[in-house]
Amino acid sequence: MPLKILSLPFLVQEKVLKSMEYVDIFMMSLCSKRAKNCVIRVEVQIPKLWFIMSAKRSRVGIQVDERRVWSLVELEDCSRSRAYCLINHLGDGRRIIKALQEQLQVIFRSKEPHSLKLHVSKLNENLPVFENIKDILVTGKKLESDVLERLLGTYPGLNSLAVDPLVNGNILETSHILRIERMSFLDCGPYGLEILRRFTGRNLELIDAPIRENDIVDIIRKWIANEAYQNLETLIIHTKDRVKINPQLIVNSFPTERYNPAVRPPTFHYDSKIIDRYPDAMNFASGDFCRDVIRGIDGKRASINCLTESVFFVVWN
Amino acid sequence: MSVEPEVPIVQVEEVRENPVLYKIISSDNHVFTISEHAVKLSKTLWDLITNLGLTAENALDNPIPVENVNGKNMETIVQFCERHKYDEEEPEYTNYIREFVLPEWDRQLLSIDNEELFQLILATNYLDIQKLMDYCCRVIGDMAKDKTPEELRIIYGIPTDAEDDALERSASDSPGPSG
Repeated sequence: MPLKILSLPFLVQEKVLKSMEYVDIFMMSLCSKRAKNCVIRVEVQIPKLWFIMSAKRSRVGIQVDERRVWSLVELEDCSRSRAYCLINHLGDGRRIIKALQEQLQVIFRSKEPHSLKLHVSKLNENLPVFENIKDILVTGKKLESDVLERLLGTYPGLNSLAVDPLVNGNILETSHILRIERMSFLDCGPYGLEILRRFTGRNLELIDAPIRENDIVDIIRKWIANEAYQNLETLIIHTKDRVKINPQLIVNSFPTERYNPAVRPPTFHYDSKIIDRYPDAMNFASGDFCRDVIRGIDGKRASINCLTESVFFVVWN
Repeated sequence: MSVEPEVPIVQVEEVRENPVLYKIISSDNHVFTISEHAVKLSKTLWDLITNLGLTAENALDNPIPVENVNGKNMETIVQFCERHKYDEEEPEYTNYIREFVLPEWDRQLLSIDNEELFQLILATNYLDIQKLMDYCCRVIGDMAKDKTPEELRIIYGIPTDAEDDALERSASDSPGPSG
């Protein structure tokens, strides 16, 4: 005999649904219109929705904590988890994606915009279009700048962008990428360095950067002189192939102050809000090449921690 | 007929410190005895006891009739309340009650058929026993694990859209009070 869930008082239905896994709640919403309405009324809160288009596996998932995303709907290759396999049931195509998104948006509530993780192999003509995407992570090995530009044209107004592959090509004056305030490049290359030179945003992280001392000095001088980087909050650079840079050369190139506990705390806590990056803290109270610099126009203070293979530059609020 | 439930395990400390017992009569006239700590888990019963002014002296002479709950469910409820009467207060699961692990004892207690579970949850709702409600809902929610929508329709007795439409049509076709 069935347990007639829709005949229970609504408060009980609500508790039952909130005791279920997200994927089971989603399944419930597919049972009938009445079941879907029941799920909608419960207003299930979720932390964040992810659309993940990997090379071999595409899925929709819910981020349950900082590092875990639980699969909700498999879009391909449905053998890997017990998530609902959309393709097996409904076929393929943009219409399905749209219907899926509509379903998810009415049954799950989130204060956060959605995130999209895309493998470069998915950046073809049939670029998937999801709504309310504000953060994108691109994975893979190599990416042409015009393909990236097309992606950013499809998803304008991003809060953050993380690019794993090496980007090949130039940045146009009108490029969407120059409007993004938070970015990370895992394989920086010349493209990432060009972003750094023209960056007007808040947080930037460059890994494997082919950067030299004079580039870093130029950036910090411009910040001190208020010629550029007015909005900068954090800049993290790791050199390419552990190429050594000379910290002494950098900190001797402009006026600096040593750490003074009366002026600022020793640790800088930050949350760059870049997709796939997590809040962290940096110590700026010790180290031979840990210095403060002051912006002349408003007296704003920044700290630089120069190591032989990396540079951390943070602006105190 | 009066059926005494299994005698609840009354801990020595409670007998010494808190010997108050209450009598409850179910809808089918079964009589149950429950300790003060245990009955406090039911907001409805405890409000009733407070409003009736029942005390240690007169509690057993004034059985409380509970007309919405039958003897079988009341027995389960009394067992549950006696088992959990000394539990520390748990945080309210504001969003997801799947965060807790359902204890094995409780899982056994709630291993009953769906009809019984349905009636138990209505009784629990009426008596306002938060913890038992959470546990019952968790048991019902767990039934959905690894199930397809088609399977869920059977488990939870969810009519299809066509069945719902047919029901609605037949309800609107049937003559009203004046028909």
